[in-house]
Amino acid sequence: MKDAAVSAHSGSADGGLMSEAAAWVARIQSAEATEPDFVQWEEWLAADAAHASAYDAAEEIWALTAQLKPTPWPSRDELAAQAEAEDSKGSASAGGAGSTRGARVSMAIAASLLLGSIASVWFVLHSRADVLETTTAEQRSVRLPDGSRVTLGAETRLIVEQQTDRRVVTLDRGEAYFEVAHEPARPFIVRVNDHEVVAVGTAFNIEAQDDRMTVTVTEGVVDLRTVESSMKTFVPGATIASPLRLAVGDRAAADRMGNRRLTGVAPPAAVTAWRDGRLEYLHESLRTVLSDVNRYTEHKVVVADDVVGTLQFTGTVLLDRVDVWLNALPGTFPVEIVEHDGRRFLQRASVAPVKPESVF
Amino acid sequence: LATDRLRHRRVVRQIDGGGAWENDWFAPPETKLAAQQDLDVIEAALAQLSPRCREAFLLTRLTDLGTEEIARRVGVSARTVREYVMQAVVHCRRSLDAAHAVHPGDMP
Repeated sequence: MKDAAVSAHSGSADGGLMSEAAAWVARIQSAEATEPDFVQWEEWLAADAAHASAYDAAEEIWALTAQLKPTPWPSRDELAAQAEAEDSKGSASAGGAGSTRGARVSMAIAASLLLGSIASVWFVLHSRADVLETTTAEQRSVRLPDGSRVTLGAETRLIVEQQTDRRVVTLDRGEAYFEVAHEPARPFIVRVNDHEVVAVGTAFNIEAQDDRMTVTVTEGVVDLRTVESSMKTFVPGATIASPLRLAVGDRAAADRMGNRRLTGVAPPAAVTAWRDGRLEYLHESLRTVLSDVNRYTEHKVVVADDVVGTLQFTGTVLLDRVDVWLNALPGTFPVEIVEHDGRRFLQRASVAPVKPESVF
Repeated sequence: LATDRLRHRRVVRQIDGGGAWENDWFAPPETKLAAQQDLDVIEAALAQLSPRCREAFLLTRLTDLGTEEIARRVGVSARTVREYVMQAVVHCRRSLDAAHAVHPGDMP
């Protein structure tokens, strides 16, 4: 490292100092830095007043570049096309001096994944992100590398990234219950669309539905905040509104428009009953109930009528007998299930009085 | 001990006002805007680097791969990776200084 700093002295006096400072930042900020590195660094800082300000100027760049967000590159084909373009430009500016032609070709293939820079960084990050997925009616409980436990409901997809300064989980779809290992230095963040739930050490349930997400806290405290998509690209964690703080038993919903509201205090046991094979509801709309129930059956039922969707359900659905519950619906509500093109629709019964609410 | 010193230095810098934008979720919009403009300058500067230099630098900054592993991926020596990282920082610093010189009001 030191030799790199010295060899960079070739430029102008100022440029040389900045190169030297840059070399020190890279060395000191590296996870590979050792105690002797720090000792030499302090000696260097003390040697000249200009060294410290050069170091700070270089460190500012170092910190700024940490905020560059690798963006997913469109496709592998696009990368390959880019690699080809780079090759025809004769970009073999470094490496492989004495390599054979065969080695060059394989290097070109390897390079096709590396060119595009930010894209390839994304690949590296992406390959280290774990994707957890469950199918219809499947539930799984997984212990994450940090010791937190996640229980996935049916038809749920989670992407887990563990970084040095934060733990990020993206809930793509479905429902999950999080028991977060206490680690104040690394906040545990769950992303759903443009919303983030931030916890330090706590337990909570999140459900992602088509138009909204619902979070229920069963232990401790979490913050629900909304992230502006455009800001998120460059400044991870940028928010457009102050966070909504939720405590034990609190339940809040947030929709795609950025609206957030407390939807009342829920009995935590009911919210996480799905982990014990039951869905429990208190005055919940049939539309919401069915979006849950459908994740546990291959024979999904579509709500074909807005009025039917607003009917209120209170009771329990046994997850291993979802179809029995569905078939019993017409006996409880003024509804019927009709099959059409192999799909099942829930609609108003042809002749029956409309009961606004019914208890199972 | 060594990391304590580094932390101390960081804290002092933050009190000085440097790094106020750093991961500050609740920073005022104008601060965010300035940080955003700085990042735009950095992105443009990085785009001017040679692909391998940019690659080595971004892998260093955005992943926790070690120097040897980055060297293997980029297809250069570890020493060259260090050179690249240095070049990238210097180039970004110059670009940012140039941008601030044109719009002095943007200086933090």
